Amino acid sequence: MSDEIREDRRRNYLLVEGNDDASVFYHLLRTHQLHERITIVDKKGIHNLLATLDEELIRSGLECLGIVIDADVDPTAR
Amino acid sequence: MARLWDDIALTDMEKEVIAALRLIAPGTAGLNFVGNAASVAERTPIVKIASIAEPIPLRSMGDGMQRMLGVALALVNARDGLLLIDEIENGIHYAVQPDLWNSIFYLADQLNVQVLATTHSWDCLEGFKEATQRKKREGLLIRLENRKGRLVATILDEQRLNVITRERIEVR
Repeated sequence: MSDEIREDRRRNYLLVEGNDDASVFYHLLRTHQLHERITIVDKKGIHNLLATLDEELIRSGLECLGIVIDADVDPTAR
Repeated sequence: MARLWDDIALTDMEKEVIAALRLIAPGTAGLNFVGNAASVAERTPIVKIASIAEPIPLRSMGDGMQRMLGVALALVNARDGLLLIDEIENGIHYAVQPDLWNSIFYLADQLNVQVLATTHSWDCLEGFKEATQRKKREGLLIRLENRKGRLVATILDEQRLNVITRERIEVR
């Protein structure tokens, strides 16, 4: 839990749909030396991501919230 | 605390106080206050534990028992009123926090007491959430946040509290 508290002191969050996305963005951020400034949160699916967005927005100390979702086959539906 | 105890001794509320203590020490059979009869402040609580022949001082049983006694006595003495509890989780082991809240919900409901409690503890939030879900009780989390010198309150009902604890979203 101490790790989570430490992570929560970072004020920038990136919500992603799943494990693969989390891994891609972690490596992308690390390549650009940004991985220690942004916490990536695997929301385990688009439904959960959308259903919990209101609560993510009230996270203590939050400064920037980024969201990455898959376009899939029908981008307009997203 | 001795005065609060005197007000409920030998009433049904006494049983509720003992039941609350049993959440922490299941063998608790009875409670009394002893010491200088002329001074309330000098009377200290002793408890009877089923497996121990002699009564023992409550303070020898840890902070959790003292905290639980304080909360339970305050509750049963606040009938039809309001009870404010600061840092409610102090001294209470995380594993019994759902039971602590369960007792508070039960007594508050029985006695028509509005309870307002503050906490910084994540375990306390989880215990509170578990108790609200266990019997569909009415409880609200009000998050207070200092935004540039202005205190902002965000009200979170059981559903949102559920999301916050499940997703471990930091709101403290």
